[in-house]
Amino acid sequence: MKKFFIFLHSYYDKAQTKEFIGGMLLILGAAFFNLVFGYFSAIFAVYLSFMKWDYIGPMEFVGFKNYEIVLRDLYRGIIGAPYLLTPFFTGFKNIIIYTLMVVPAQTFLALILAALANQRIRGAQFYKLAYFLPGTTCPVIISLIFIWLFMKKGFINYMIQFFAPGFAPDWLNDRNYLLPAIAIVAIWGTSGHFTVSFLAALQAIPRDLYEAAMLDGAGPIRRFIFITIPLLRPMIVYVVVMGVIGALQMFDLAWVMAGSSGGPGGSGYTIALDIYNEAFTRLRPGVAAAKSLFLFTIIFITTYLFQKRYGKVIR
Amino acid sequence: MPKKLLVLTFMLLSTLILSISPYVSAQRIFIRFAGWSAGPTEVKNYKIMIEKFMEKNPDIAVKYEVITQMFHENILASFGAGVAPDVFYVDSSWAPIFIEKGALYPVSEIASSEFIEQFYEFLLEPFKGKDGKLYGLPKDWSMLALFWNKNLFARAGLSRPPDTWEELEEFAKQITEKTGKPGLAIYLGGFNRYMPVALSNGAPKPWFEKPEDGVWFDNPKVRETLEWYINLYLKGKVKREEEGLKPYVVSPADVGAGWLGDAFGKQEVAMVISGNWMIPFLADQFPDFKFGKDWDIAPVPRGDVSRATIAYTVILGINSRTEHPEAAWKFIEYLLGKEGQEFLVVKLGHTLPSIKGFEKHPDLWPQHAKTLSFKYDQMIVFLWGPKSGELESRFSDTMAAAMRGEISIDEALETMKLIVAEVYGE
Amino acid sequence: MKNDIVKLSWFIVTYIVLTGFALVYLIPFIRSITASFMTWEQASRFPPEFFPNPFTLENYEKLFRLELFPRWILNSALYTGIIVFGNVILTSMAGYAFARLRFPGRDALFSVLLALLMIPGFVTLVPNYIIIYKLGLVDNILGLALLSIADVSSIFLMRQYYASFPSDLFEAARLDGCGPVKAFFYIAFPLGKPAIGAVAVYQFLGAWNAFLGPLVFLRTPENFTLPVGLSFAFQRSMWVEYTPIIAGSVLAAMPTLILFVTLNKYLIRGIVITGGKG
Repeated sequence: MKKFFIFLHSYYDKAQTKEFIGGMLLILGAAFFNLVFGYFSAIFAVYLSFMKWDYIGPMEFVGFKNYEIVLRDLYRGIIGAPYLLTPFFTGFKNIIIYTLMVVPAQTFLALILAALANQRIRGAQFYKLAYFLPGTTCPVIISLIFIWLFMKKGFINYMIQFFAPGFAPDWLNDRNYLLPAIAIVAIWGTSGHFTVSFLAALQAIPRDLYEAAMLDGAGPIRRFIFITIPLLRPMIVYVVVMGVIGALQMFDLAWVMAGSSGGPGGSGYTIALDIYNEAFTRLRPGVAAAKSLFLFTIIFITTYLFQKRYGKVIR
Repeated sequence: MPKKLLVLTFMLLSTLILSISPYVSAQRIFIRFAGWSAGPTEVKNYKIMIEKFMEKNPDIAVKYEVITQMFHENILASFGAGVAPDVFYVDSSWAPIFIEKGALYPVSEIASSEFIEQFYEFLLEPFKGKDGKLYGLPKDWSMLALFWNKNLFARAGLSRPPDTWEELEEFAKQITEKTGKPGLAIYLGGFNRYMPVALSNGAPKPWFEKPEDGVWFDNPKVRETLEWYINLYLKGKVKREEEGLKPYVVSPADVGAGWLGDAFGKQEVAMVISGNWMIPFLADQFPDFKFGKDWDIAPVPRGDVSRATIAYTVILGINSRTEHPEAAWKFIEYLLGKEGQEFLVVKLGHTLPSIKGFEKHPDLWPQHAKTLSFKYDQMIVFLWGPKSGELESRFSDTMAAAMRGEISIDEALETMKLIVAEVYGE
Repeated sequence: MKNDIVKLSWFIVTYIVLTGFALVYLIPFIRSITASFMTWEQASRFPPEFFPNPFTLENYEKLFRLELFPRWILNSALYTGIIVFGNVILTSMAGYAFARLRFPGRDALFSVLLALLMIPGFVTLVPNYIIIYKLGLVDNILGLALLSIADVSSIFLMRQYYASFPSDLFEAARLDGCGPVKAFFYIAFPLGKPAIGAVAVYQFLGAWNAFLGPLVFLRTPENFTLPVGLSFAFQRSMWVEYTPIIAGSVLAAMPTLILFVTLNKYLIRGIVITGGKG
């Protein structure tokens, strides 16, 4: 008992008291809600991944069997089995390709557009509004509109004729073009959101830094590379991390554009789709939980590594 | 500034707490009823019936819940949380799962046999468990029929709809030649739409329950008919376009339509095989396209052996864990009885009533009545086994790949066998 | 002279890029607006047509004829209001604390919260179902709002924002003997306006257009939010009436537009720090 008090006392002293209490108070609300609604689910998922269940009857403990199923699927996929028999591997492969397409593109685009729009040029308001607009529409509607635009004789192919005549793939039915099509919709829909983030962060950069650089004779591009980007680093980290997290979990776009089975050749099949199918079509929530944990680990590792490398906070 | 925030937060918190209103439970028995909906009108009609029911049974209160999308998944999740509704819809393709897992209460133990006899027998088949008990009663149903465009037929010099599958293909070709519009539209895949072709030519009724059941695909009649069906699209569209000719079979997307009904209503194609749900759609979205004058309904084409069609239905099930099975039953009895069906199904006009006796009812839409008048040798419910939903979707994907020419028909058959083995393999 | 040419060409390039992308972003939106005035018959034709002919208001009429349409707007407004308000306060506090204060377990706790974002959606469905039902909050908009009232992505945003300030700014306050909580309300919160504006905008969007959460947890049509209501009214099991939904989404986009336009001025004229000089 006494030891306990001594421990508390030293802990209390170690923490700079005011800062500690203040800190805890400030995060209290946020942490509480997230822990209740998030952590309970997470623990439940881990528990579930070792069970066999059908929602209605009792849960049955099956040890690592679910994980075995996942690994076997991956193995089969690596040695080249047809996609119809290796859904998880297909989903995994596709979502990685998709993320590599989407995240760099949307980060880069948002950065450039924010920087350009931040200048004191006429019509800056208009541009900001234009980029922001896609984010205001309901995602389901967006998918529906783009399905219509991506049709073989649709608007997008029509426009492409001006730049590359003859190139008019059947985006939604061609296994090589479905994933890029979905990626394009994603970039269209989310880069505006990140442009707003960058714009906000740009406001925090003191103007005199630029003025000093200009006096030194640095042109706009050099100012951008050597001042703006480093100062925007925390925000860039945010955009990339959020982008990766969002891209790896993409579900609704694929659901509408590729259907629940992933479209031609399964090229539109994502991990999130597979987890959903596993849970509700094949009725194996245990396996779905195992797959979810697998996805979670991947997301966690990638973002952790990225944060470590680029995300230092207090200087 | 901080003070204002505090006050606001306090107000917010108190509104939150006050709004968590406790359920008012009197001496009434409280049951929850969940369904999806065909729109605000249907919901309104159900509410009216529920009001009437509560008037007649003042000791029962019914809470009507509408789950618009992903219905069965939601119900499953609610079972998982232990809070499933007392009465809920179950689509025929999901029924075996619910029955097998013991989620539904055996209706046959609580309903009178006279009541059960009112229903069409073939509609009840899929909802009987292995123990012979009946686990739900259909609230309505639809069946497949051939919808044909009279105007396009006339322009092609045809005066009657095709009677056999061969005629179907012939007529489609002729219509395309004479009018330029594809004669027939089918879905890419669509295993359930292919089934009448198989059945009417003598293939046995499919039922997949064990991994070995995939041998159904080895049956020569199955191979023959599946090849024919896949070739409808392969030859009718893919090969034709390769030769620079107009296709006589298309999928809805090929003509810019969202589904068969859309393609038919826009008069982009002359024939589609679809169900009763087409009827309210056409009436609502294409009011100038008139039944009788511009288009008509014919029975599904005949095969060498018989004429067959597929029926689609939804049952009202009682939660096996409900605390008030009798109250739940009274409610279902009311909704599915003559009065209920007359109001909810016949007048609304979206589906067919599941009770016999309405065939000549004045409120029954003529289009629906016509479908009821056809004589079929075989009417089977859309259900291929306990994991029917998964089977249907994977079979259809395989067929679609074959239709697009991505895999050969033999490969498709093999894959479908493998799918059965895999789905039932664990 | 050369300098002027460089400047001019820079301007031209800027304008071309900006306008080009603006068009790309706007076209689907313009398309929905024009389609909302067409009949489905015309809207779904291809080759696609751009001028409603006949111009019809029937899609909007269908929307207003829905008796529950105003109710859904109200519900969405309520839901969104709570979420925006809650998030603005909770996440700015938390973001500031994570970025600027030192307390044991700070980074660990933050990683833990961030990790929450990475949990795929389905996993949280059943457990949240249990919690919401046991609390009696099902079919209750306020209850539903609690689920997303302290969104981790916004905490993350605020943290990164506060992290990008030079530390001497906050040091000064601390030296003045200002406690961390006070420092937050009097300095950090006002300073955070651009990012808080961004958070408000995001959360508004997320809440206003939210579909999955309300779909699963709201049960009576009177309680639906706008997207779910639109889906309920116009999505049938076999087909979807697209044009009224498009009209509905056009209307639904209006408030977010208005919000953005008003907050926009705020975003720009937000306090611009002049490095270290108070």
